[in-house]
Amino acid sequence: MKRVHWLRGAVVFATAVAGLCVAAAALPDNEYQRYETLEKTIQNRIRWIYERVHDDPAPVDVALIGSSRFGAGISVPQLEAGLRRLGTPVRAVNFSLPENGRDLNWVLLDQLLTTKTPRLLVIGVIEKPGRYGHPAFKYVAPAAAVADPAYFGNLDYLHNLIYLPYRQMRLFAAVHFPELLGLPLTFDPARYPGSNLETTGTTRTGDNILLARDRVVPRAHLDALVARYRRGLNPPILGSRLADVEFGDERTYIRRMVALARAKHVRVAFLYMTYFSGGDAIQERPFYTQYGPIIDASWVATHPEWFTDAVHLNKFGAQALTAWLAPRVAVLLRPEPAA
Amino acid sequence: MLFNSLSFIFGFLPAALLLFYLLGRVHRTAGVIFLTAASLGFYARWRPQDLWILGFAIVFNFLVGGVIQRLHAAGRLRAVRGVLAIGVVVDLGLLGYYKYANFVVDNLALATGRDITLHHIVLPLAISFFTFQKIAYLNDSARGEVRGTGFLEFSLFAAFFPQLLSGPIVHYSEIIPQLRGRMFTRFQARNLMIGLAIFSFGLFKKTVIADTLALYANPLFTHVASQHYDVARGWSASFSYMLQLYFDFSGYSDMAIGLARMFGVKLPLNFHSPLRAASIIDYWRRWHMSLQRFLLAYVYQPIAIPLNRWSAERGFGRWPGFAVTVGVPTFVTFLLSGIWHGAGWTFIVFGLLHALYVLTNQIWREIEKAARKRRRQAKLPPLEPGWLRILGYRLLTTFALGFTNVFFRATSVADGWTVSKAMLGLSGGIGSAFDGTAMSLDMALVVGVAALIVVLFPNTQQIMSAYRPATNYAEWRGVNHPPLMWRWRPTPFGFAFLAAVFFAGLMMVQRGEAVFLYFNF
Repeated sequence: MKRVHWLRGAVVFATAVAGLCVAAAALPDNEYQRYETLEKTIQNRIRWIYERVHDDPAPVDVALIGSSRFGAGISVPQLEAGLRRLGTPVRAVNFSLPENGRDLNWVLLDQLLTTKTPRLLVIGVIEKPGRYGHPAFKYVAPAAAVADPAYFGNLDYLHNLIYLPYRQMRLFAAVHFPELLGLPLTFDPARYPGSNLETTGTTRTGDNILLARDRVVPRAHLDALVARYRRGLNPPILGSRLADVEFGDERTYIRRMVALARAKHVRVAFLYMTYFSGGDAIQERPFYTQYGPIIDASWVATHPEWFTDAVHLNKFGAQALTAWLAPRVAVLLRPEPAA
Repeated sequence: MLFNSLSFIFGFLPAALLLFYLLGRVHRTAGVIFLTAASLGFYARWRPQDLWILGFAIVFNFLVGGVIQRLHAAGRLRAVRGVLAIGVVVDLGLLGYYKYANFVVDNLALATGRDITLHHIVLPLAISFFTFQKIAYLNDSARGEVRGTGFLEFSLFAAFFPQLLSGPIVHYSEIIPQLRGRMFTRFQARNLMIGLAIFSFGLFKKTVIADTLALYANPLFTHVASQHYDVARGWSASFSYMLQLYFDFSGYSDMAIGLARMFGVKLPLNFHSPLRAASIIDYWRRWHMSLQRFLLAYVYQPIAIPLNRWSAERGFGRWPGFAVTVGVPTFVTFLLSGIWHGAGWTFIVFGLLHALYVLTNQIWREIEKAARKRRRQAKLPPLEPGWLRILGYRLLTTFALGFTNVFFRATSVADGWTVSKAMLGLSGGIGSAFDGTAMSLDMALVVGVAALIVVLFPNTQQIMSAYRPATNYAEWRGVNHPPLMWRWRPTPFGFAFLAAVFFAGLMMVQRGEAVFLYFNF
């Protein structure tokens, strides 16, 4: 074969690599298997979320979505019981997962709305959103969503994009060799933990880490954890005009979530929780209030006996917060007065 | 930052190449300063607090090397030896403190029963490699092979990031003339693409083959005491790790050679299909070649030469003379090689086993030499070994290596012995081969494919042989051609093939960026 000039060869090389990446990224997959890939990680609850949406016929009236703070803070069985006592029998789900990142929340909401029509969506918000998307987004989001940068300044975009061809090759192989890759093709009722999964209290993650949340932490230790947490709270850098860039993940995907919810006539509310002793203002308050009311649960931050670390409630804190939240959710479930 | 990380491949590397060639175009010195600073930055990215150690090693050895060079030029050879000794002692002292202090103190406490403790000393990355490189520099200075080195070019020679972390251990005479060359800092697409090709093969070896083998080898060496090993399981552990180690380290070396080439610098080879060697001596000529070259020049020969003289003066007979002139230096060299690899008894056992193997091989050679002599005297034609005999030698070498590699990998001598005992058939038969606990079907497939690549296919420098891939490739050009020979050419197919290799390597990075095994040393 004829030799080519080295620079032309470089072009052939780059084109071929790009072509292979695109071809691999376009490989078909099985959506259920995608949600199984995080089975042995701290995000293992994500398979249950998929199964609750697609394989469990029980309706969803109230959906809570947010970070692990909300997973540890709101007990769905207790919330349902509380609402029942208040004469509002509903089915609720807590789709909160460890780590911040609104892009994944949007993916999960999109899934939820394909099969269920909740009456209320409660989005968990914290004092200051992160600048990055969710680390699990690249594993479970549809290929088109990963390929879409969504907003200018998406710091995760290239990192997520380069993962896509590998992910699709693996999932494509998993469709044909599910046992070899340990990813069953279909829903197995024996593995399903039930409709109203308890996310509060002590749990064990997929990678076998025990999250002991039924204990009271010494105050000094809690203060040290809070001090460390506060050091990581970097104030906005780019100013309010560029907030859509700096906090693009939060703002873009909240807008998308609200748009999805509104299309299905789902009412949206925000639940604010802060860290222990945190008295900070909600950085994005004006942004959130455009789309729905904020339920301010910052009062729990004054109770050291309710925290297992700087930001997560123990089961006692979760009981108190859920009991407090039930009547507020009941109010939001009432039909909105006509404008 | 690992060579097999996305941040390196898509961040550091392209930025370093672009700025190096842009600045080099403006002024050659600017390019050199930039590349030196980038190399130091690359090192600091691991543990910034260790940068001073590398910085100290550079400044100290530059100064001591300068003194040695001046003394050598003045003909003051005795003073040269004195200053050289000081330099080597300081270099080894630094290495000894960081690498061996904990090991020595722990064993001292154990042996004496006294409560001696030392805080845990974190091993600075690459200290074993850059210390040896500096010692080689001082020795080269003392031999009069180094003259008029500027601080800047010495700094780049000493910190050049492609070879800084795990070699190849380079000599002054290999690198400095290239840094002084007319074309250094000038962009050449040819160098970039040849380097990229070599880098891609290395990336493939590491992420596709070695990291896959690790998935099978690691569990077989974890919690050894609680596992049952029989012959089949013991050899599964040994072979899977042997192949992992080969593909991991030779993959790293290819990446280092490829990266250096992208910057217009050729490095020496570190591997030449060592697992196809027909003897243990041959194996050591081809495994971690730059380390062996160092040990031969600065350990073996300085011991063997005076012992040879002493043996001749004493008039030792054949075997006593052999024991003194070959046995002692071999033993010391391999013991030191073992210790160099790590501060632990497993590495000492590894070194001693290799010393034993090499000595056995040397004795065998002596016997063969005598047999050849007898045939010559009887006017009989020399007896060349047939293919079956060579195959036997190769298998024997491979199986012998199986035992040493077990100790290289094991976390304790007891663990190493458990696996070795099983390999010798002292812990059961081959039952695990049939119930799938020794090697699952997928593991057998992966190990089999890796072994076939070793046996049948050309190595990276043979594939790239048309482009002088390494400084010393001419010495190895004709050595050990594989059954399936193939040379890469810059044709559209060649570049497309390269793209597929790079793509496969890149994809497998996504499984997790695994540290190279030799980063532990």
